[in-house]
Amino acid sequence: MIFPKWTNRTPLPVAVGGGFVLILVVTAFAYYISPYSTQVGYAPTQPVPYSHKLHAGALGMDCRYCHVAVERSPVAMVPVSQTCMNCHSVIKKDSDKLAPIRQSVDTGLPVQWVRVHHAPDFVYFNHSAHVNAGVGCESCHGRIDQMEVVRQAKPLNMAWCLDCHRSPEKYVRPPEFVTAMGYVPAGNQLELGRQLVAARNIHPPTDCWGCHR
Amino acid sequence: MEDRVTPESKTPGNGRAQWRSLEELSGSSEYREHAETEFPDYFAEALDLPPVAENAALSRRSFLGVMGASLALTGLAGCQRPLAKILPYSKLPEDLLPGVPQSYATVMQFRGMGEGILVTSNEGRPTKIEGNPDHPSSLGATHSYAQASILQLYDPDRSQFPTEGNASRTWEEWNAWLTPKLTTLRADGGRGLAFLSLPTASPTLRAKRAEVMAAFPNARWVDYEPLNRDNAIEGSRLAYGRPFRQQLALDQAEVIVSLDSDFLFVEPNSVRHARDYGRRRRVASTQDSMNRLYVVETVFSITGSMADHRLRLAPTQVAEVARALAATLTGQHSMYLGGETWSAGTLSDRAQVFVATLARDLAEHRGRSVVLAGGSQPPEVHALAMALNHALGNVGPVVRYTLEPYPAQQREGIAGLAKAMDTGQVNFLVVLGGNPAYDAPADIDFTARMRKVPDVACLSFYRDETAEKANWHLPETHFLETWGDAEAWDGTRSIQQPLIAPMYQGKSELEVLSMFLGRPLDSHALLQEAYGREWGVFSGSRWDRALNDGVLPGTAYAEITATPDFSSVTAAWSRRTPPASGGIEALFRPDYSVWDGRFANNSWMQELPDPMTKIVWDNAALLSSKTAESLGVKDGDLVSVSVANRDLEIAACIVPGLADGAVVLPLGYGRKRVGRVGDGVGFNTYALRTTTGMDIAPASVKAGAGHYTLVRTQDHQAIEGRPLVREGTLEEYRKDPEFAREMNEAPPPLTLYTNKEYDFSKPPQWGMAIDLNTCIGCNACTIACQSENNIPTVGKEQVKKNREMHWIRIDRYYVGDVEEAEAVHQPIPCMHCENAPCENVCPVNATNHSADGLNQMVYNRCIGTRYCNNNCPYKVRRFNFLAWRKHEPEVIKMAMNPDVTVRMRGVMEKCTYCVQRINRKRIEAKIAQRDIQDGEIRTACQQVCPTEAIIFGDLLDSESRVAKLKAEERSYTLLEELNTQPRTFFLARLRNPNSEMEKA
Repeated sequence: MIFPKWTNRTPLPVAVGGGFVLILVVTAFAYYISPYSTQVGYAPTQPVPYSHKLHAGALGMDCRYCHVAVERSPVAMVPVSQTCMNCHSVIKKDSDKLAPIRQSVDTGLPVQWVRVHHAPDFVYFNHSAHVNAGVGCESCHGRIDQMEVVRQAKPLNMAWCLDCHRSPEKYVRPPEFVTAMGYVPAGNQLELGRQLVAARNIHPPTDCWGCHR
Repeated sequence: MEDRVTPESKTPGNGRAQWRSLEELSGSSEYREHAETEFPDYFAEALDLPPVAENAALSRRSFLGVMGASLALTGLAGCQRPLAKILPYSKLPEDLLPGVPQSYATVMQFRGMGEGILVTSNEGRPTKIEGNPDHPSSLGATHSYAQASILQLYDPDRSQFPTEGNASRTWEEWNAWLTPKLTTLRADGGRGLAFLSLPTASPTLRAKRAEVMAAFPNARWVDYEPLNRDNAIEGSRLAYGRPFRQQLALDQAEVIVSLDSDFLFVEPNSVRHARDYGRRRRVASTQDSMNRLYVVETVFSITGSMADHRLRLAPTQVAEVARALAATLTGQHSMYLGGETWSAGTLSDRAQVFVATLARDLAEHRGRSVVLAGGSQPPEVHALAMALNHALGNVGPVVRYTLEPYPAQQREGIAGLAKAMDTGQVNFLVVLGGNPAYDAPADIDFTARMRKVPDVACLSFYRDETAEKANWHLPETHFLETWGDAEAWDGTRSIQQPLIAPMYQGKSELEVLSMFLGRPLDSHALLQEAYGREWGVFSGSRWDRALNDGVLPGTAYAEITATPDFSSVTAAWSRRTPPASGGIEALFRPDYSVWDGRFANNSWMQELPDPMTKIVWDNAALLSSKTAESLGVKDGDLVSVSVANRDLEIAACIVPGLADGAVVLPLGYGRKRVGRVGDGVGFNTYALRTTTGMDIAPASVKAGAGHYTLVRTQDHQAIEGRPLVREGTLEEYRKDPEFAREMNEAPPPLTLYTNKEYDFSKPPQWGMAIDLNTCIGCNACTIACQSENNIPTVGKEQVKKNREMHWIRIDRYYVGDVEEAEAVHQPIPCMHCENAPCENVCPVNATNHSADGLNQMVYNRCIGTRYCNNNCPYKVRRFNFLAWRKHEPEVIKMAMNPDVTVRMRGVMEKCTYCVQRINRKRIEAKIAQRDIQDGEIRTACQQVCPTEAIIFGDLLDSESRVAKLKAEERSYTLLEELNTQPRTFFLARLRNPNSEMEKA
């Protein structure tokens, strides 16, 4: 006798346990690919209740007024405190909400903004490459002009990136509309996109080292 | 391999054996074991873990408990998004764009000269050093020390604040202590005050020193650096009556003779020399010619490894060759050396043939040759070399003279100072920058003399051997933290602009001297003041221009023409004592890794294999096998070397190509007070160096008791028995330009993979050429790669297990028999094979190919099976066996390149062709809607290379340099029989031997 007698009773617990593990694995995977784990909707409280809805929406300021590096650098650049003071040394100059900005300008210490869009450390995302290729701000960040508090609008996971890297014609815009919010293509996006891809020689890398290194 | 038919002359070593180590040559069982297990000790380590105290007490139950708890905690932590902050500037610094690195021109002082550099700064954090193409001593390249100096900046063991005794102090307290002292000193003109500094190439600092001496006329100023140019300067005084400095145009020389002169590395201005030398070694077609290099030396230097003819001789015998050369040239080739007669002296048969052939070659190349004497040779050899150059008509076309700006005799200087200290003439000694307690001649016993001086203040980068014994220690700034200036070898001046504010409380020598003048200012103000004085009016635009360019045009020294005094040279030779025969001579020389000891706490340099011996983390007494045999010493045995009644127990290392009857002692190790990296590493050979034998000294060597573990990388990553380094002679190349390709019978390109997964038809397709004919094996590429790609160091113990992490290694092969071996260097980065064997075996597709032909390694996919490592025939993959970075101090993070991932334990890594540089340029070109230009992307190893031996570019662009090199007949790939289709290829090494030498 190779197996002792008690092994006769094991199939049922094994089946039940196995089933349980299977459900666990499926649930975990479903969670992993869902927006819950990709953090869509993440909207942390910022030290200054800056409203993109007011500035970019109602006032119609261009994204690049503050995010000055976006066309030239890998980072779009969260504006330096001095940028806020360009206007706020005149407008609402005593507002309590702006106290951290004024303090930063006085002390030279940075305002501690909370990062909303967080690519993993092994991702080397480059804003300038995308913006110059005609990827709209809106395509990755959503309707910023409607956000009182900035929240993550898109999953920013690799499958999502590759969707555009594999077929950029689905998303690219003419350069003049890159910062436009609520952009509607004049005509068929795919057709227009193909023309733009051809004209601007857009070949987004799908190699690993395009983004990871 | 048996059925391969290779004619004898078509073997890679030109009919001779190629080998890396004596063990390989003899085929010892240890070597076989080592070569067959790529990572020795791996299983032994896994099975034989030493018991850890806390683990020993851990029962199975508590172990499970701990594991369960930590798993649960990790699980919980995983659910929480880490809160990350973005900290923008409050006000944006001028010209700074976050995310875009900036480059600033500045200058590094080393070996008493300035070397122009461009420093990359990421948001105010200097991370990488490159050469300044506009600087005459750099031309865009640097040596390994300049590369490694960036790590020095972030050294956690740097001295951070002033100390008095063992108590920490502030600069205010120092000034409060100094001020009354200065008042008394000023009263009697500084009697009893002595300064000991390093020689400097900074004109502003020299002026400031003169100012201090003017304020304290009775004070004493001494310069001392352990590796100095005393011999060369004294030699010039003998030949010309004045201290001259040689300016060489080596690209104009057809015949170069080195009398123990390592002009490609050790001698000052080596980077420029290497560039000029390399220009005359580049051969594109059979019509091209090459220079010819004759080297007479004791131990293999990298210059010796490039020699077309090399003669190994004991140190004092090298001088005899110079004498014989003068005798032959005057006697047989009617050369005028002041009409003096020269006797040939006694030389071995081999040396006689060497001299005769060399003399003929020199006589045939008057005005197109040069004779160089090495720094360790006595003054009369330098004087004779100068006289020979003059007589051969080389002065003018190849050699020019300028006045030596700082000709103080250092050995006499420090001896005189020590005497004064001993007799109580010094009350206040100020050491500025040097470390005499460690590196002063041993017979001086500087430490003991220091005790006789009531007050000693020491400005130094580390709280080192000298600083520790001084009453006051002052922290010194790094050259990237302070303002200054420096002259290139030819005098061209550069402003040294800081890249970062002093990280700690350091001050520069310039600033400290201003305190002695009672007017403490910061270095910026001092420098502008000096230039204002020099220019009459300080010009902001001129200043900005100088900062931008990194050079001040038109500041080179004036050339001097003079006639040598031949009789003075002859007189010096007649005074020379003939070398004693039979004994052993010791030769002290700088170490290729730590120089004179100042890089001892730099882990990059410590782990850098010596170019010739391949020793890491150590120095050793180098002996020839014959000498060792006669002493009964085996490789790695401890021996007792004694020089002038001083003994040192040191490990012996047997190296090929070393002269018999000589022991070579590299300096710079055995430091006691430098930091966590360098303390207690190696043997302090300064203990044997005395004022009478600074370079060469009679010695005796006895076998000692015990064995020492020397770690050498020479047998690591061995790919034996295959034609890897292919070499021929210039003549053979002219007869059969494709000789290198014929050395291997490449099978038809068969592959199991019929459906090609990758299409390599679209440009760009990256490739790299490495010209073995110009590679001098100087290691600069290895360190540049380490700096660019955040490569960790692993320590001696781990290197012993073949776990070094360098992405580009330099394999050094010896060719021929042991005693008269020649050497070749071969840098090996990743080959980026089109049919990469590593890719097929990865179970998780962590390594695969990109459309532009790069063999990609994706760290976030890698699960660490190491299959790729096992399957790589070139052995270029490196595995993170341990978390090398985990225990590094926080400050080291500042040295990291932000564009490259810092790898963790358990992942594989390897050369990426600097993909971060490719991507940067690709994006730039894309934004500008243009194509990438040839030469726009340079890998770190390419950019640093002094001889431009490495060229990277697009193989499909027929106009690119790399494609042209690929088309050359000398080009070949490694192991083409495997049909891996490597993108990295080599150009065969050529030697240019003198046919008459063989006839004789």
